[in-house]
Amino acid sequence: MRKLSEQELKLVQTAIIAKEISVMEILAEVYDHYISHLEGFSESEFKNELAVLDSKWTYLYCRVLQDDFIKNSDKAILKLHWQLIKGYFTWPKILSTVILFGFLYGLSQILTPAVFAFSTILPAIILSHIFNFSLVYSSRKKFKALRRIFNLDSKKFKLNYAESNSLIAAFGTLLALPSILINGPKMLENSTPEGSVNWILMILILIAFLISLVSFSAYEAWKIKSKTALL
Amino acid sequence: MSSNALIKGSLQTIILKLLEENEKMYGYEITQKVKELTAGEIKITEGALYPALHKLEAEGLLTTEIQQVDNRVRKYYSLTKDGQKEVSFKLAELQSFVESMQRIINPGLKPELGI
Repeated sequence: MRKLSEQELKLVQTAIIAKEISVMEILAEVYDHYISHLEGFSESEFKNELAVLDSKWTYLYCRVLQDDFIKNSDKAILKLHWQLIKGYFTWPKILSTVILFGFLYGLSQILTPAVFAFSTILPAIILSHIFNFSLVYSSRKKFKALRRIFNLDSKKFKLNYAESNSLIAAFGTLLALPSILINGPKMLENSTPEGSVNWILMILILIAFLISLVSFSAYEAWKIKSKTALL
Repeated sequence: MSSNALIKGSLQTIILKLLEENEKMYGYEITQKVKELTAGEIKITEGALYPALHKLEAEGLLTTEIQQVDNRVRKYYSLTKDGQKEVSFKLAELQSFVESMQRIINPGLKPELGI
């Protein structure tokens, strides 16, 4: 086992850059694999072993690997989200869930539909932006050394922090629901039949309730994943 | 060297078993450990190992831990609680398959010998 020289490290980095890996998690893993392998060989064997590695980690293989990683990451985050949300309906967490629903219901009774919709949507939007920003920031921080080594900030392709993105996507998709919250009050104002008002209000409460649960689960998912993953 | 197709079918079991015994390992370490344990008979290719690791992680059987090594990031894999349960199931499944294969290859062997 030996340490690679600066010149050897440069050759490794050049070889990896040629693969145009944009998913940071994969880049980190490939780089570590290359170095771990090459450290076990002498200087005279270095070039030959680097060629052996390059023949295994082809451009196409890296593409497939990173695409699969993104898919797996999305799948894992969604699964985690779903588990957490299901957990809110099990003892003892269900107590807090019932209190939350009661609070939202009470709020809907004392506020006008428009104020109710905006008082639930606004914090969610602000929180989601803070959440997204902090995720991107922490991912960039964790990959700082790698970004510097590979001079990635100057690269043309967009860097992808797959695990952070999966978390943001899982959160963001459900946060698209606020559009209904915006349109809901309009529907209330325009609706004429008496009975339909309560029905629409009920949908608004349910959406606000769902957004709250998703927000809590996104935060919890981040807490869990940040201990282990690169986000 | 054993056929790649044979190894691919039992790769998940190999990974889970190694992680059960070694607590946490990184990708390259797994390839080397398998090579060492089988005296070079079985060589796990990168093309099969990393997709398998990522799949097991997505299924919740493995968890990861990040460590800074020199100027790079190293990703360690370890078993989750579900992963620990899965190891015994996968091993029993493989054991049963090997026994069945033995009976096909050597029809003279008696099943009760537990080979």
